[in-house]
Amino acid sequence: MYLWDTHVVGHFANEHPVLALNVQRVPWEEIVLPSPTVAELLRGRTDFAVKAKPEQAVFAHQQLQETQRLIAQFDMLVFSDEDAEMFKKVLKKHKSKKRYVDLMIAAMALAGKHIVGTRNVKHFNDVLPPHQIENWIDYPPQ
Amino acid sequence: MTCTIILTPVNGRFHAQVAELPQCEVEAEGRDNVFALLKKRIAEVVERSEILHVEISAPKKPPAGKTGAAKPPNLVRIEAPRVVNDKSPRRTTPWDFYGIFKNDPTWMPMIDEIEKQRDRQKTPTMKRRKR
Repeated sequence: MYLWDTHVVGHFANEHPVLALNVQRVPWEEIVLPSPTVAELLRGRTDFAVKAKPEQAVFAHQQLQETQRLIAQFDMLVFSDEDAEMFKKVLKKHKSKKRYVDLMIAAMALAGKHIVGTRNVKHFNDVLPPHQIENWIDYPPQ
Repeated sequence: MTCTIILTPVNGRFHAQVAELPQCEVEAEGRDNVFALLKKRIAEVVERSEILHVEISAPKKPPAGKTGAAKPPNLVRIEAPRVVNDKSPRRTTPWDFYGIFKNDPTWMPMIDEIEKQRDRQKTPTMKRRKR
């Protein structure tokens, strides 16, 4: 399965043409959101909603609902016990303490032998082998 | 006039009450006595009362468990993402949602901010207490 990083969902909702080409080459059920991506998207929108000024609040809350509808179009891969075990190993190996959520998603990919769909390849290439990372934003299908 | 009488033995006595007239209630020893008393009590009540037959339409009751209040138009069901291995029918690519936020000026800045938050977030560590 393809685990979408958060900004890939961002580009899907922002009508990115190259991403659309890549989406067409795999069945939709192969594209899933790892639960950290879902958490980040909801955190972003909920922060916006609860901190909005009165003149922005209606829009902010409507967009929170729209984001929930968008997320509901995907299957979600929920962080599991196996993912947690792998995550511990990844954290032990990568002592840089950098980018905690990247490592969390990478651990899910390693544990389930999935592919991470991301534009930020460099954030994953020291954790995942090359065949488990794909950039769907900058490279159209071959 | 015909009444429904509820007759109940109570410790060797009888308690009688007219179902249609709750204020007609007596207690006495023996059935005959209690009926006589009750008839007297009914006569007293009827003598100073006017009996009317009025149709009252009962208000419509909402179904059990509902408040009956109309749902506001902005009440929506929170849709949750389907989890992997869900047995419900597979979905097709939701092209309706492709570009759903292209006119939302807050969307991509929010995505960029999420990226920045990742950069800032370091691995949580257990803090040791100072002794």
